[in-house]
Amino acid sequence: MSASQPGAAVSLRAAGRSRRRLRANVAAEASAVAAALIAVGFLAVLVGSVLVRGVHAINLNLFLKGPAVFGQSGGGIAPALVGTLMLVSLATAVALPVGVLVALYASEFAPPRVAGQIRLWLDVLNGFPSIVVGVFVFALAVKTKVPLLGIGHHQSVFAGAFALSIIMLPLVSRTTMEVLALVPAGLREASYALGVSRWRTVLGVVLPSARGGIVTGTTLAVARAAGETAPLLFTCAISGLVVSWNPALSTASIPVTIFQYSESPDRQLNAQAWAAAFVLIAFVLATSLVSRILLERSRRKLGVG
Amino acid sequence: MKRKGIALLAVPLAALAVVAGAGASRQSAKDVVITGAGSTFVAPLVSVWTPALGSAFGYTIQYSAVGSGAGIAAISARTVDFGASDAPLTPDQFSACNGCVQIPWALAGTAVDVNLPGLVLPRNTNLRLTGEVIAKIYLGEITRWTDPAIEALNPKATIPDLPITVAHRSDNSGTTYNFTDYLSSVSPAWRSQVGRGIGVSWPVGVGANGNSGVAGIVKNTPGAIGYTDTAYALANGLRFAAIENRAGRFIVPSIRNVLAAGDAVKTVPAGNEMHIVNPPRSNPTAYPISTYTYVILPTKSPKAAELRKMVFWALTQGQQAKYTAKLWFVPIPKVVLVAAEKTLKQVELAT
Repeated sequence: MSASQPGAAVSLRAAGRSRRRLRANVAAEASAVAAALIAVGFLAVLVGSVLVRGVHAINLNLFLKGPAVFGQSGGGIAPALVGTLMLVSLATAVALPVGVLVALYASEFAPPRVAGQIRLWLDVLNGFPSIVVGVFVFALAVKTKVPLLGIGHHQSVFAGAFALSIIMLPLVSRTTMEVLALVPAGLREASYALGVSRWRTVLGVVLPSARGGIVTGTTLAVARAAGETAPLLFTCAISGLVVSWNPALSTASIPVTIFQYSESPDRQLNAQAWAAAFVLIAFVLATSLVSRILLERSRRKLGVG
Repeated sequence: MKRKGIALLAVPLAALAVVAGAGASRQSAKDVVITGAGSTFVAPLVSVWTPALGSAFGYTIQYSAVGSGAGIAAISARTVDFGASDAPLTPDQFSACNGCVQIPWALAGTAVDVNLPGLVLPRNTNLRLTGEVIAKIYLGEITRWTDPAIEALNPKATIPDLPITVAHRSDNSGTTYNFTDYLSSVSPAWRSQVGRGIGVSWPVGVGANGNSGVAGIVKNTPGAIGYTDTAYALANGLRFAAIENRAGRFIVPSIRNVLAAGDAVKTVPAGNEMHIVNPPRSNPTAYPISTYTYVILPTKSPKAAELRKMVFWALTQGQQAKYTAKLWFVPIPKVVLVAAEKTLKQVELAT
């Protein structure tokens, strides 16, 4: 600061050390803003470029028809849409109950050390390379004969759904565990005080309160499973040209179709790959938004945040 | 509360039941699904046959073009109803297949595709190549398009000075078998160094999956050379080379020229294995890299009646120009047709 002399104008501009500090502040703030813009910008560029390249291939045929006869135009990705629907539904049907039960056990019935171990190993499973999961299911269910479900010796929707459910399980489980921990202890204690048995408390008091979180976890897991390619490459990738509802056979799926079409020399199929990528992104965006809304609602209900 | 708990527990049981039921029962009586896997070479023709078979008999054909090698493995393991391969089965593969027959059901040429931007040729001609030159290219001995060997064959052409990018198959392929069969018969160096097979150790080049993969490499790489079924070359607008046959003429894989090669077969051997590469001089217009492609059927199959109907249709109606002409597949000659139909009778219903 300039020496104060009677009558001299006092400058409000920083000088010396203050000025350096101010400059450092501005620089740090600017780089933080730039980093945030880059991160969000990436998403915008990604979605934008997929949209630009795929939008001209999006028409009704894309959703209703199967691949066109060789060399002809038209055709769509209907078998892939049906296949992904079947795969994700079956995977959710397995992962959801098992995940919720695991979370219930870990948070309600297990001793704290065991619960900690379960939490740790679920997190490890969450970060597991998905291709290793695919190879494991290939060895277990595709290469060998599993007579119970009529699968074995070939790829099938069952095998693919099994692989996807392994990937979905930790997501559903961990989210449910977090939400169960948020249920106030007072609720449980009130239920016990009324003489309700433990399992009825869990099923009738704790679980309904955690409903929103469970749905959130499931939608996140569904969004992830719909886009996984590696586990499907060995378990459910060979398919014909028509829509198939038979889960004992292998069908097309959106991520594998994107992979196959983008490698094709046919420009039309490349455009359809972009369009399928856009459909997948739209689906993931929609489920993420839905899970966000549901999370807000369940948070408000439990009185947190 | 209690109901929700029961519902939560019932979901996986219900899912299991539905899933097991669906897996156990195959399909309803009226809609027959026939699954097949194998050759990408014949995949274009199968894809135009599929809607026709659907409207003729109500069959839904689910054909996965995974390459001849994978197709042979699939039918040997009986995970599909029929296999398709351009390479005839070896004795080992026959025994692994445990009671299979191979039936030739289509005939076409393997085109040698080139991508040469800036190539100027005299009107209505193609780039001329011989078997030895192609073998040298694939052995890595000729590395530029302006090599004297290529220029000597094409004196009136202006060839751009590009390096040659060799494209080949990375999966086990009947098209590879056909191409290496040809190279082995025209080049002793190739025969001793690499040989013939559905998979070989390629001395040079980039590999891709399937006929469409090789077509993709050629299409996107200036200076590339690759071998594909002619239908893929046509569908992707690739130029193919004119190959010198034994009569000394430079031939493209058109329908007439491939038919001349197919006619080189006077009697079909038992087992139906036919080699029509590098046909003798008596067929002056024969395209030297042609091949029959086979459907592989088990002699005992639960879908024997449907398979026989399907293959009989393919051998007769399926050879009509409306299915084959645009793809440059050739209607199979009569002598081969008779042998094919005779073999088809061996397919019986499994008891």
